[in-house]
Amino acid sequence: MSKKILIAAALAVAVGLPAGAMATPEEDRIQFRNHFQDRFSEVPLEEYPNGVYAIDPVGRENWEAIEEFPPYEPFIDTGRDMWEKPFANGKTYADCFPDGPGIAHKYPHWDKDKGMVMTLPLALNNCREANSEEPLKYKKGPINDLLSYIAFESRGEVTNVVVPEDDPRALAAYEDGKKFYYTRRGQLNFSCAHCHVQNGGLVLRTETLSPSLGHTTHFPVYRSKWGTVGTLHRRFTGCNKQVRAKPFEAHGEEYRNLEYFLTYMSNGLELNGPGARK
Amino acid sequence: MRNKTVIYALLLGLALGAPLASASLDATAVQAAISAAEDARKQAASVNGEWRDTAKKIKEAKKMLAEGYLAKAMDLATVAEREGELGYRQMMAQQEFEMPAFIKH
Ligand code: HEC
Repeated sequence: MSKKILIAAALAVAVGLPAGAMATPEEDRIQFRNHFQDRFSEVPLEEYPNGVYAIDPVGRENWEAIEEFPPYEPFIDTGRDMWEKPFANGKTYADCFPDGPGIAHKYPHWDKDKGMVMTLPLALNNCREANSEEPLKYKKGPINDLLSYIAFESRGEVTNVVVPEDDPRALAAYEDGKKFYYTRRGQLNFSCAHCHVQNGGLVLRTETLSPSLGHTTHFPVYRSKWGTVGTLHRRFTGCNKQVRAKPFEAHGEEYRNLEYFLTYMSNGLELNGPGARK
Repeated sequence: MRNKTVIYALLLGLALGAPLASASLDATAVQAAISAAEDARKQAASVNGEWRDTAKKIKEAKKMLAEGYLAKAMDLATVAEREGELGYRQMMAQQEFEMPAFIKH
């Protein structure tokens, strides 16, 4: 055995990682994408942002009809008013986000100063609090209006999550989100990946399971079942509950890191929010 | 004769929906089971492994105990404790990250 290999092996043991478990985020992403392109070889990559309608032709017909009069449109209009209306102190969201409103592709990102993943809803609430406004609730309600407007204004931008190499905490957050995604949870003992990676395309009760690739491009989403627009973390909550696991706090560390990993997997895909789903 | 009376009493009890307290079941034992369930739930939560309905079952057990339905309270507490243990073990079994085999490439 050469010295180099010995040192590498010793290092792997010291760090406690089995050989082969050290895939980089980029290696993960390529593997993830290849999995779907193998499984649905007839589906072009740019279709994945359309969720289940990339793989379910019957559902797709209904969806295309719905998209002619998009149910999320009123939310975009209300969100525009929110964006433009000054806070009590006279400032607006634009003072916090000078590049706004089309900023969805800049999130989630690693915030080095805070040492955490920054999500768009969290950044919006930070802006509100810095301007002495009450924070918005993260799952239901007005935050969805604001996010609908921002998503609409961000259409055509491309998902581009970065895990900076100069801060090991960023990689740790990514790895944490990845582990969450592949961990079995709840009484039903399912991981996210069991439904959306292994079984994408299968029908669960009345719903076809969407492939995970592209899962983050179109939020917030109007769901007919909800009768309104809801956030990504509301969706995470629902999916955790489906397997009878206790959901986590919206924009708490677990879901933030999950969003970081999951969005990274869709790097290169176009943003197309807000979306509409059954 | 005596057996029959017991059965009638039981049936009547069921019909009335009354608590079926067995001789050994007292409120102290039920209270201990509820505490054990709460500890198990917290242990699962400490590794992010709490299940959806465990806390609900514990709450319901407390309510049943307060209303005197000892057997029902005991059942709920026992199930909740088991859920807490399973949720904890579920997470501990997955401490080491492993990529699932269904991702092939
Ligand atoms: C028991 C199966 C199951 C599990 C496990 C599961 N989901 Fe889902 N998920 C669904 C179903 C059903 C839907 C609705 C239909 C669809 O779009 O796939 C859904 C929808 C979604 C959507 C919205 C898709 C869209 O196009 O709008 C996202 C995002 C999502 N799940 C993420 C997750 C994450 C993250 C996890 C792990 C915390 C998870 N899911 C676990 C069943 C599951």
